[in-house]
Amino acid sequence: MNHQDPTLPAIDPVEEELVAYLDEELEPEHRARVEHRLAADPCYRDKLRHMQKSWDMLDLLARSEPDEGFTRTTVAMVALKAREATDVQKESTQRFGLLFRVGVVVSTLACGLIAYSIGSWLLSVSDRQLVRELPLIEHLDEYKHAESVAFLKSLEGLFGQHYRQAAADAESVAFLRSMEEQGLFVLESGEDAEPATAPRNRETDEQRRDRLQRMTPEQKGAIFERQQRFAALSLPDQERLRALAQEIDADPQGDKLKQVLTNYHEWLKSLGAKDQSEVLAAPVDQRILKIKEVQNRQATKRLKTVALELSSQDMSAITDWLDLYVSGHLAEFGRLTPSQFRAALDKLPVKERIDRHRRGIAWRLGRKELLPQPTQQELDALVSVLSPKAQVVLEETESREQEWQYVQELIHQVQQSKRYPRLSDEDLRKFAATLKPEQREALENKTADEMKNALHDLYYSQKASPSGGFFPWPAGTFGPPAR
Amino acid sequence: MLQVRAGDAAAFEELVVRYQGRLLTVLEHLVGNREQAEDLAQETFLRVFKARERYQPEAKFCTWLFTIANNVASNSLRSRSRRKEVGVPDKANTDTSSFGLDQMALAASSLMPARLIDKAEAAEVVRQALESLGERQKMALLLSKFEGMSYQDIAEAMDMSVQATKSLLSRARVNLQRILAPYMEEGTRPASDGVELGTEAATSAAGQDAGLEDES
Repeated sequence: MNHQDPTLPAIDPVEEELVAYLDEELEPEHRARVEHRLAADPCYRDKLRHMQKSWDMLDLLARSEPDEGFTRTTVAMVALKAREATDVQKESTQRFGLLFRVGVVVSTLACGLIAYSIGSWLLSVSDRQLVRELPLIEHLDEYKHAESVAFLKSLEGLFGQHYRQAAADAESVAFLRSMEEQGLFVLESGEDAEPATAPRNRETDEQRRDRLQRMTPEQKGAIFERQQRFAALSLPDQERLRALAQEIDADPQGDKLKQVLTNYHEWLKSLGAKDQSEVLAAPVDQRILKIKEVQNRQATKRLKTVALELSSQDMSAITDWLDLYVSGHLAEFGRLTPSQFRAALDKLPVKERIDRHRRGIAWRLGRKELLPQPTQQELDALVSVLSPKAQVVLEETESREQEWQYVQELIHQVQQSKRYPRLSDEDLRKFAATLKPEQREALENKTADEMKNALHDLYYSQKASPSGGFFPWPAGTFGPPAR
Repeated sequence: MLQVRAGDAAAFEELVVRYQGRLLTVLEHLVGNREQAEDLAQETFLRVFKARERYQPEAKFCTWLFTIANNVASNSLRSRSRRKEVGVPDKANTDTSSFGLDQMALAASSLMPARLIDKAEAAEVVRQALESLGERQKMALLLSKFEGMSYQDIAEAMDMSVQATKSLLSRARVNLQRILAPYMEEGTRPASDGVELGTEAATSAAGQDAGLEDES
């Protein structure tokens, strides 16, 4: 099939040759011939130049930048379709089995009334089974991720009663706290709070049947879909989940375990596809460690956000606290000061010494051997004067060491903000208007956050060296402002 | 890809992250619509996942990916043209040209410096020129330009002979040059309607593209 439509204009061999030359698809000998002709023939050369120019113009076409959601939805969509495909495969196997059974039932029906009765009895059995297994079917996805009662018990510390308060979005918790502070309402404590899910094991079969009948068509559809998925599981898997549900129901801590199960499932759903698959792929005995690792990453991210958005009240509170902390540990600060500076510092009056140590704390941050460890009371005193938003982040730490580490991040941010105060969006816009075209061009493809950070850096770099300077960061520092 | 073939979900996500931008770039310029390009890219990744067990390690992954993308896009464009035949308006094209006009309006306003106006205008002209090429010429051109693929790889991805690929690319580049010539030489900006763009070259480009079915 290599013939050509006679109505089409023939391809000019010269043009084809030049295109292949530009695409570097010519054999060396042929290439040399073209180059020779190019050197000698201005018309030929001109043709090549035009062709190259139009080719270069394609560089003006924009490169597509996928947004963050695209990856997530693509991976989620593929995971879903892959699961559906597996389910359909299983379902078709089952459907074959079902057809076979129906065939048997039909022939049996032909035999008379007795067979009909058997058929009716079978149907009521399946109905009764749905009623009995309703809690399991309703929470199928949750149960699928629970390995065993022992596994759930080991998750209690991470996803127990305090989970919601600790891991919920800092903004909304802060909002609730501020409402509480204004006396608008009182937050329920863990013990008194109503469980998120109804006590599923206390329903009788009759109550479940009623509930099932009262469901809307959409709810019934969802139950049906889950029932189908449950049926598509292998028999050992079905049995494992039934046994697990019974074991949880029978456990004296059953309700708490169900809460853990729900919280763990919600947390898994909130993860990106990569973290989720990493957690679920970890062997059971290592999964707790993996969960802690992911939670730590989430906490660090929350801390960074809170640190970058500290209010001026929080900044003053941290600065005031630093004074108290340094005065409380003044002798230790002196002892941990390198000997070449110690003598000079010791000669200063106490107030000035405190001030010097407070201002010079930056180089000690993150270095245990140079920084006295504050007491728990001192840390509590700081937490008590911070805004609810900052409190939430510090309260989710697991130890005094970690809390101190977080506080150091906040101190670092306070000091950075003093040197390089965050500019408002309006100020950044005004500053952007003063940039040179090439500087603006370099910012064109950045996301909003990246652009703000880059503008910020540029602003301080120009402030320190109005000519633009050689170094892109302010004079007198050893690098760009850390973030 | 070998990890994906073994069913590693994290490896699949990494693969999506690594190739999504490149795939979207080619598809968006091919169909002229971001939303449709995203749908096609997702469909391509889904087919990659479904066909993962058939992937041969000796084949270049990139060529394999764009082979699938070409099939997905061809099917979609074919059904789109079928819908057009029965009178359904081509929303994708409408969207693209209105986007282009918005861009041009913005460019013409005082909000953008002259250098950016020139750049935006030239980009719009190139986009329209590309739009006026036939689908196969466009695909070959995009794979060559954005992916830097050899004739051999393009031939494989588009299921045609190397010689046919050579002719297809040759026609595409010559057509592109003819369409862009008035703008490059005299700065004459063509009208926004693709048909008016270098009329002769544009219409012959579409016709030649259809004829190339026979060449491969």
